[in-house]
Amino acid sequence: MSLFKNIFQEADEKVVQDISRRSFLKHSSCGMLGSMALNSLMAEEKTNNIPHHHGTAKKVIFLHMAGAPSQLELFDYKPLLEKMDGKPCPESYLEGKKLAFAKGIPDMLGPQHKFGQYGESGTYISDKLPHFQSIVDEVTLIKSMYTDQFNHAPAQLLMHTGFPRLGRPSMGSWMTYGLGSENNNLPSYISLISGGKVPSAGKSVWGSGFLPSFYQGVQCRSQGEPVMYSANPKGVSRDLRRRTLDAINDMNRIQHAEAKDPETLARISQYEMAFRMQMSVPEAMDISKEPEYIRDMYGAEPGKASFANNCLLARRLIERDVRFVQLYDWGWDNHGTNPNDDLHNQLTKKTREVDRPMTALIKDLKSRGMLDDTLVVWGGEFGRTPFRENRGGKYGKYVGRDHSPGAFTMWMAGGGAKKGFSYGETDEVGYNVAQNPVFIHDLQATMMHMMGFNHEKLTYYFQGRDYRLTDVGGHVKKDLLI
Amino acid sequence: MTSKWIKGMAAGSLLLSSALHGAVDFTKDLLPILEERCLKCHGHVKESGKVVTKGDLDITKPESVKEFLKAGHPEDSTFYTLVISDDEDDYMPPKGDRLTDAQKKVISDWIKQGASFEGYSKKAKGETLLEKLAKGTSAPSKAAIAHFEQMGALVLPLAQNSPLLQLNFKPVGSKSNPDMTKRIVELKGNIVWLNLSKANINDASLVPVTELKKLTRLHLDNTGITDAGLQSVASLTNLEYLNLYNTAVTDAGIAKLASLKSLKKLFLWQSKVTEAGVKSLQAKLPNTYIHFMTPKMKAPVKKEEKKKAPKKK
Repeated sequence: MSLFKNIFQEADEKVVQDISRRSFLKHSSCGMLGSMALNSLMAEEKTNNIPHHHGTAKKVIFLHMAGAPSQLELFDYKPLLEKMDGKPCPESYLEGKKLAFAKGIPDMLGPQHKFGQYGESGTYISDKLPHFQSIVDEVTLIKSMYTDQFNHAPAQLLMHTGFPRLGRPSMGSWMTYGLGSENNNLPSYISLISGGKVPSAGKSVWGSGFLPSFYQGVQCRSQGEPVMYSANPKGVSRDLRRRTLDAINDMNRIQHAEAKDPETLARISQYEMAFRMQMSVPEAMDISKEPEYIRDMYGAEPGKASFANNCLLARRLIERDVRFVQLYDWGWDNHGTNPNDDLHNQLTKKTREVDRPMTALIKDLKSRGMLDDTLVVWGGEFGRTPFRENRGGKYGKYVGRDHSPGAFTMWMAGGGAKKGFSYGETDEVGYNVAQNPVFIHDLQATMMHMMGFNHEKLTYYFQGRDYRLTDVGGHVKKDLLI
Repeated sequence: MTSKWIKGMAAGSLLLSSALHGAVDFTKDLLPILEERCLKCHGHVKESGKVVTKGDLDITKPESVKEFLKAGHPEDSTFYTLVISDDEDDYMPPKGDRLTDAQKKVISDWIKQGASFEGYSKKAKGETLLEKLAKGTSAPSKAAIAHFEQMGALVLPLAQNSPLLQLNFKPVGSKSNPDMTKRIVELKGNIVWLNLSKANINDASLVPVTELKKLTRLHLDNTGITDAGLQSVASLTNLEYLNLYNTAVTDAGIAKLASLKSLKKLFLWQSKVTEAGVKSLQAKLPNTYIHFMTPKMKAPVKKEEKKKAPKKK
């Protein structure tokens, strides 16, 4: 009973069966190679692609708004903050707080956009999200997210890898490592970028850390060649490519027979995957094949690089049984130092870019009966302060808020999450969590639980100990689940 | 901390309600306490279908609970005395906090009042349909699994140590054919999820599926299934999820699905059904969520942008 075993895994198991660690070490040419193999031998206590319990979700679409969108303008309505607008921030709030840019005692800043109540649940949503308002009864808002990192890169790493510094596998890597792939022709973990920049934490947010590199996210592009350098060079036919690969693989197999280095097999498997991807990826990534009314629903335009295109692609990839699709959008860091990062011009531009496609994604998944086992999660890496940022001690022409790890809002839909539900509360100004706190590890543990894993048991042995996504923390928040 | 608070408050309100209404109700008042604090060892159904019954007590079965009590006499009922016991080796629950005084009182009152199970439905809250289906299921046939795997299909247990299977024909891709479901009967005791989405199948391919009485999820979307095929689906009474989007089924076909009383979700977008057909089925299956409309969006934001642009100039 197995999923498609990639050649790497299969051979790795074969190595375990055929030779003992000792004889392998004898065979290997240097110590480093030996220790590398040892790691992979010892790591074989994995789950064989079968979840610990039957999960409610089989796939994940993770929408990361890099830069940290303001909860106070979008989801967390605070009437008191409106009244306090322009008044100096009470010192009790500032005690013991580290701030990225704000100086001295900044002034409180009321919500910069209007809120209204929507859906049967009567959820408060900003008028900057007119489309999202129509699906509040499908989603669970988590208003009590908090983190312990207040700069982008470490906070993004914590969100994606469970650790604020480099080197750990990302969430998607853990999940594909645990559940395997259901489509042998596409990578099981794909990331798509919009907003013009890679997140501050770099490609590590979809990296595989110490897990075999097979499990890292593959970045696909909606403009130009979907996967860079995947097309055949001019004058090389698919047939010739096949024969070239066969020859290279033969040589690699001979090499493996002699040295028994699993990375040789990883290489063979990656060559093969790349060959299959030459056919499958362009097909999956071609949104011109979608009917026009579907493209319009998302606001997607073929040939462009946009969040809308990426949302539509996410659905197409999930439809083709890709396990984890990670979307990154950039430009949510609304400090208010210029019109390109303020709460009026820039936030309006960003919400306009994402509101329609993310709503269309939920509606589209729902119509196809896919929202049942696909978990969609949306959010940034931290929140924003209830006071106005006064970079360098003074206020400029534009309005913004500083980084705030104390509280922020995320939402999730499908995959067994509750509908029309809000979880947790912040204090009266939305600065800190007041009730039902959800730390990053709690969110990760809950997502793992939905995917059928006990987050404490999906581990990997590395450098002398077992590692897991949630480090040494994480509690499953069952209140979020149906 | 908060959870303890909530527990305390919940017990408090239980006490209040039983005091107000007099009689303590097993299902309403007692079961929530037992499920939270006792079920894990006494009546929990594991993924494998096994039931944990430490000390031979299964709180989900009245006949089992009755073994441990003397109606009207809490002081002679181990069901109560172990809960109030001070003996470290004996008291229940053995781990975590002791039951609160309010919770203890609910148990004692219930026994005093005659320990009635009136109105208690057999299915404990903790037991899901899948757990129920797993009970007494034997391991699947290895030969049948190998047969489907050879075809390129995915045959996977729902969870570790679970005898229940999901069978996914999607990876078979272009090699899929109407005959590939033939030997499905050999796994009829095990398959609960069946995915035939996008497969090259016809109505006849569904005849063997009729045997899969444990099926809870069925994907037939984007296939050549018609109304005739739905006749085979109509007998799958455990079905909770049925996807028929982008098929040629009509109102006459879906009318046959009125027998699927467990059905929670039905997807009919891009099929040939009409609003009238959906309405008539909805009347017979009031608790089923039926989706058949093309998703609607508010006016496109793009147009707003275009309107605004000239003003700026």
